[in-house]
Amino acid sequence: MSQLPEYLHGQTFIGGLNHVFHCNHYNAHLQMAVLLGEGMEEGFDPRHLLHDSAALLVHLLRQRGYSRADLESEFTHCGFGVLRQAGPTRVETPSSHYGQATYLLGRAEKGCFFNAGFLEGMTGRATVETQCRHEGATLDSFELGHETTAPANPLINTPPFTPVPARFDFADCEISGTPVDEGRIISTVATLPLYGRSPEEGGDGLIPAFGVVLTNHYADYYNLISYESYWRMVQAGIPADLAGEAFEQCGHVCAFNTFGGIMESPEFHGLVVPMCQSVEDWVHGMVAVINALGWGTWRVERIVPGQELVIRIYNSYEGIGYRRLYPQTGECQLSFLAMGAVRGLAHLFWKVDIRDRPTLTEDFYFNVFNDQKGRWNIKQTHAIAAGDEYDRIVTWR
Amino acid sequence: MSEKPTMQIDLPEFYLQINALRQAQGLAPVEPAMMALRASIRFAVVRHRHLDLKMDKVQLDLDDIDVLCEVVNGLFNVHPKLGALASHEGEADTPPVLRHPEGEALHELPLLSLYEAINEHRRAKQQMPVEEAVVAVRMGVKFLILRHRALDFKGHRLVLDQADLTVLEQILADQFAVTLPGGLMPLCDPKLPAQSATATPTAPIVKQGWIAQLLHRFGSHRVRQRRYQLDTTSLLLAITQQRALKGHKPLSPSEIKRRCGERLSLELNLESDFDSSDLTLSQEQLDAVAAIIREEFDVILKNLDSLAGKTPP
Repeated sequence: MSQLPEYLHGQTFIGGLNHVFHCNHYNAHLQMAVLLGEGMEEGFDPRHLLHDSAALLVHLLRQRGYSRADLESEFTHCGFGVLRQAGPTRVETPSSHYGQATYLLGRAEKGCFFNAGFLEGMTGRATVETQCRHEGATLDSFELGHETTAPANPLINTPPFTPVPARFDFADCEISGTPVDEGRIISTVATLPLYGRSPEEGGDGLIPAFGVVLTNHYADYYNLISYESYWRMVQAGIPADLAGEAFEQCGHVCAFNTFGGIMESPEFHGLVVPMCQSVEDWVHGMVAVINALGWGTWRVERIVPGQELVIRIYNSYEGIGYRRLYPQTGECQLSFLAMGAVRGLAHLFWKVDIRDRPTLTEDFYFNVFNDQKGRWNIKQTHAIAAGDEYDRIVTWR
Repeated sequence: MSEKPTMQIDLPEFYLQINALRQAQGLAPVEPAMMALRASIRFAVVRHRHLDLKMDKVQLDLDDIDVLCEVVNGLFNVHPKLGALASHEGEADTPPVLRHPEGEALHELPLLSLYEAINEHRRAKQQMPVEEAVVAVRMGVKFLILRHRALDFKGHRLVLDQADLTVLEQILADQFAVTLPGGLMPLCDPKLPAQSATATPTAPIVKQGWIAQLLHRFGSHRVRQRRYQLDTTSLLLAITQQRALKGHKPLSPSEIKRRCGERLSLELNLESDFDSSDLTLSQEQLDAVAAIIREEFDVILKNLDSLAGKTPP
């Protein structure tokens, strides 16, 4: 890939756009949450939002000098799959994250909106998915149509990055220390081959890891589709807590599958577990891994084992991303992924015990992890979206 | 241009419905006079037109109905049914929207049964199960969009009309790829007959659903309740057996009794000595006990009624 990543403010930038690692479960559930908004507003189709948000980000990259080859290479490197020109107006994805690794709980329909949007941004031509694995096709296929006009750049505001304090060196931090070496963990994770390899390299453009399939996705894509959907739902009369919960659940699913998979992996048990003397150390260990995912910089403020967990997120991708898109808001409960992930983290330690390495099956997830009994509460007390210095998430039993 | 269709709203019934919806959400009722005053003010602000909502009846076109629903939602945190019904009925001289037409029944859908049925169906088709929280949120959001009305999918049961059931069946198919044989009707408890101001309760005893609770609250009727005598010894045995079948760690009878007793006392204000007595429960209390047992012990007792004899009326 021609563009090298830059690591700034706890985030990862490629071609000037923020990238975050997320798994196929998060991508599937987030897409389903966005599709919930069908019918809530005259003239609004969530499928267009899913498609157009990708198109405009890729168009931005073209404006910044990306060639078509650069974009095809980035598509593969970030784990979306492989693009193959199959005719003058037809593109196929012989391997596809959205086509093969995501899923729908409901009625089958074409689901590769991101890929179609990516192609539209890359080619400057209206793109429609004509065949989809979700509908039983053997591969996904896209038709290129008329030329499109350049969309407006929605990233209109300066991101309000702030300096990140040292690990336990901030006011109200109740953690005195831990033997867990975060620096070593982050630098080790950075050496893992978490990128898609091209067919020429013997790969398929997918990133299977820790029992999930990862993408190094565009944070602005997530923010656009989440917040545009959320605000429309609220304006349509859906209670804000209900609309927010639809998105927070995506973070919870992600936590079980990705965090759970990581904490049961040989890599984690080889590197991190030997550093741990207590369940609190396990929390610090997993937070250190999260800090390698490009989500911002997570800081543990307080742990009361089995009772409460408080996490601050400096330069969170949700908070910073929100402020790039929209004016500062008065609402705090907006970092949906973070809320779901923090609750999920607490559940992994104190609703089940991930240290026992339970088998992370569907039945376990459904019957035990998601049992409403023992569900922790969650609240966001501070939000970068609302002008605060950091996001702060509190979860308690 | 043709005249806009209008609907006649029975305002006292409207305020009754709002308070019933608030009660279902655990919110305090609001006196109708205050509702009328505040809704009138807000309606005038939004619509730039005075509407006297202190009268007995008011005739509104569909746009006014939408605005009134928004106003009520903003003021009282409920989503009344006017908008949904207005989308189906658009002619003048339509009967008052809040009176259920003679003969239309309401259906009580136990949510536990719904969630079980969804996942039994999915498992039979080799599809991954869906956790209740996801079902509840997605069905809640979609139902709101389609029916302009909020339902609490995190409660124990829902009271629905046929149109609601039809919409829910569509949501199940779209969101979870589930089409239940016979739809949702087989999961519902027997129909609640329509209630009107002049109806006289007759034997046999009817179940006390939300209509009866509402009428009872406002003193219009006294509806006899079916009571159940729950054998606590059989209940303890059933819990123990079900936990063993699911491979759960065994719990001592004293532990089960203690946890049951605490939850029943806390949530239903029932004091029970599980060593000696049976529990006498209404249908609603029986449903609540089933939910408590599920939450506390991770077992689903499908036929709790079978552990309970019925007391004479």
